[in-house]
Parts: sequence; structure tokens; C-alpha cells
Amino acid sequence: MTPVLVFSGVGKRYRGRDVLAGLDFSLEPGKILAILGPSGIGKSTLLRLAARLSRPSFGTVSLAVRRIGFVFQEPRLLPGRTALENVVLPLLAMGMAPSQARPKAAGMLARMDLAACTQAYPETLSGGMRQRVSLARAFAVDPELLLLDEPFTGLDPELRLSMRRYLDALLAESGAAALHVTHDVGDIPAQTNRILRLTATGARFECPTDLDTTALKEAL
Amino acid sequence: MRWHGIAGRLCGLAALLGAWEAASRQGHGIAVASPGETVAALAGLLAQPAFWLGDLAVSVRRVGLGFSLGLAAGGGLGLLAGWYPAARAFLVPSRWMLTSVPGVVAVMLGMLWFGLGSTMVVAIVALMVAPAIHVAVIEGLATVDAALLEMARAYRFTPGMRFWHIYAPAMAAPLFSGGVVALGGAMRVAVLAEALGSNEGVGHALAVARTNLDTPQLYALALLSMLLVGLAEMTLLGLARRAVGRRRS
Repeated sequence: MTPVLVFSGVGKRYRGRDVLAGLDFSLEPGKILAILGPSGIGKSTLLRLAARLSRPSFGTVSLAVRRIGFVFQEPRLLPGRTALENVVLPLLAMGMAPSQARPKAAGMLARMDLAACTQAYPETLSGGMRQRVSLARAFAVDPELLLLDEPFTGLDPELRLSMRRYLDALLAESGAAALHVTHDVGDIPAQTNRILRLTATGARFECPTDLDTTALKEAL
Repeated sequence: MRWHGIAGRLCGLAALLGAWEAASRQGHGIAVASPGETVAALAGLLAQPAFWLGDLAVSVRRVGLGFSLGLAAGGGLGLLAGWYPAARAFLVPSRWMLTSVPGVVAVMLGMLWFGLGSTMVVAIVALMVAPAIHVAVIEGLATVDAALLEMARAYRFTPGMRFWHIYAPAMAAPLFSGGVVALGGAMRVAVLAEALGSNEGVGHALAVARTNLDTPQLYALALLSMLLVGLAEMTLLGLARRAVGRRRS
């Protein structure tokens, strides 16, 4: 099976400092890779490299898919555009006709229990609702690769749990490959296949079943 | 606006009219026309279709054309300067020169470069408008949210989508504010240019009234110029408020 994403000896130098160095991994279709590491270790940089928003200083990043969903730490919704417009725009950017894009986006918002908020502006929505719109935007494009950059940051524990449920359900339905970056072991999706731990001394793969969460929490 | 705001403005206007009336009674009518004479002269002017279709239409057309050219040039160069720091640095001396040159000097130079008439007036208006729009566009681009641009790149937004949904909303408020200031300045400089170097337009009519010592007519044209500036500013400010209001929801 052709991997959707391959990192080969990838390194990124930022302001004279190596943020990532010699990173090798591949991600197969439908698989979920969680990336754990403390703040400032280069987790978000890794996602930006995967999305081709940044170029590696060393090595190569091979991306075999075109449809990417990206959930950022903050919702990053367009102000002055309704929730529906925010979800529709990536579909239009993909070349989908507005007549198809609008019902698809509305359906995805309804899937996130936001059917009543399609015409609401982001400024009028709560933090949790905004992040659900962001999740709807990411899944509306039928992503072959989903990039999740600590999407639960800043949410209270109840909202985190609720968002986890939405995410787990959508990941299971979509079958998309996913890279989920977090510094909290508790945020890792239930279906995660592998965990990549980034530390100051390098990167190490672990199996979720072998994960010593207590030790990890202490380490992070 | 609250009632005391309206009352305050009405009191201010009444005081101004009172002072104007008092000043007109002190002189012999050549230096200061009374408010009554001015309004009567203005009504007489506006009752003439020839004035609407002649001087007024010419001035409005010149300001409109000059403003549009200044908007296009200032907007285009503003985008260039906002996106490319090297272009911004390159344009600083030109912008400084245009913003610091007094209106009357610009008119004198314009008369030398373009001769007398419409081309000169339109060119001067455009040159006066362009720097204000240029600065407004740069200011707007500086407020564009880099995180939103990154989101747009991640979702492969087309350049048109990025411009319309990210850049344009950020630029709207400063552009309208800058446009209001530029339009007021454009009207003033157009009247000045017409008074000094044109044989038609509101400014030319002002110059003729001065030559003929027709003080009520001169005051009526001055009042008309002020009303036109006020009307244009109110229209643009209304649009600016709507743009800012929508952005802030």
C-alpha cells in the first residue's frame, strides 16, 4: 500500500537552531499516527512540513495525496463569513460547484450538531463551537490525510471530551490517514495505530498498547 | 447620536450662523455676504440647469475621474508595497514628496506639466489621492492575520479567494477611512486647480465671481463645495462603518 506521507531524513533549521533533525517515518492510508512531545520540540513544524506550508531544510517530504484537512490549535475561521461559508470555501477551492458544496458543508455542520448555526458568524459562536466548525471544515473536504495540531488546546475538560468523541467518530467514518500532534496523552484518538515521541534527544516510535501513560505524562 | 449630541451640533451651527450674520452686517457686503444672500444665490445657481450640466457636472466628473485614477494607482502600488518590503522602501520617497507638497504648489507644477484644463485638474486630483490610498492599503495589509493566510494555503485557496475573503476585509476599514480623507482633499485641490487654471468647473465659477465682486455668488459656490465634500465624506463614512461593523460583527 502506497504511503500517503513519507518523511525521509527530514530536518528543519529555524533561526540557526535545529527544530527537527533526521526524522524518518511513513504514514499508510487510513492509519493514525500520534505525535507526542513537549512544547517547542517541533510538532507544529512537522505538520506544516507535511502540509507543504514549509519546506524542510534537509531531507524530503513526499505527499501522495491532494485532499488534506487541517485542524489548527485555534479554529482559524474567517471573520465576517458565516460558519457555512467557512466550510464551503475549501470545497470551492477544490473546484466543487457551489450547488454541491453548500449542501455538503451544511451536512457536515449538522453532523457536528451545528445545523442551527450555519448562518452564524464565528464571533458569535463559543470556543467549542468554533473548533467544531473547524473540524467540519477539515472533514468536509473528504480528506485523504488529516492533520491535527493540538485541536483541543484551550478547551475546558468537558469540551475536550466532547470534541474527542466527535473526532473519534469522524475518523472512524472517514477512513482518512491522520497525523495528530499533541502534548497530552489523553487527547490521542482511540484508533491511533502508532505513537511517535519527539524528545530533545530524538524521535522514537511506540505502540499505543505498550504506552506507559503515567511515565509519558511525567516525561511530557 | 444622543439628544445632547444633536443639540450641541445645532447650537454650534446656530453660533456659526450668528457670527457670520454679524460679520456681514459689520462690512459693506463686498467682503462678507450674509447667510441669507448666500442661500439665495445658491438657490439661484441650483435653479439653473446650465449650472448643473456645466460647471457642477465638469467638477464632479473631474474629481470622480481623478479619484478613480488615484484609487487605482494608490491601491495597486499599496498592494505592491504591502506585499514586497523592497517595493515599499522604493516608494517611500515618492509618497513623501506627494504627501508633503502643498496643494497650490501641485497646481502650479500641474499647470506647467499638463497645461490648463481638465487633464491638469484630473492629474492633480489623482496625484493627491494616490498617496492617501497607498498608505491605507499598506495599513490594511499589515493587519491581515498570518494564521488565516496559512489556513488558506493549507486548503489551497485560489489567489482570488485569498484576496476577497482575507485581504479585502482587512483592507476595507483603513481604505474607506483613507478614501474619506482623500476625497475631501481631492475636492479642495480640484476647486483650487479650476480656480487657477481652468475655464470651466466650480472653481472657475468661483474665480469669475471673485473677479466680478459678486460676493453672494462666491459664498454660494464656497458653500456648495463644502456641501459636496460633506456629502461625499458622509457617503464614504457610512460605507466604512458598515465594513468595520461587519468585520466586528
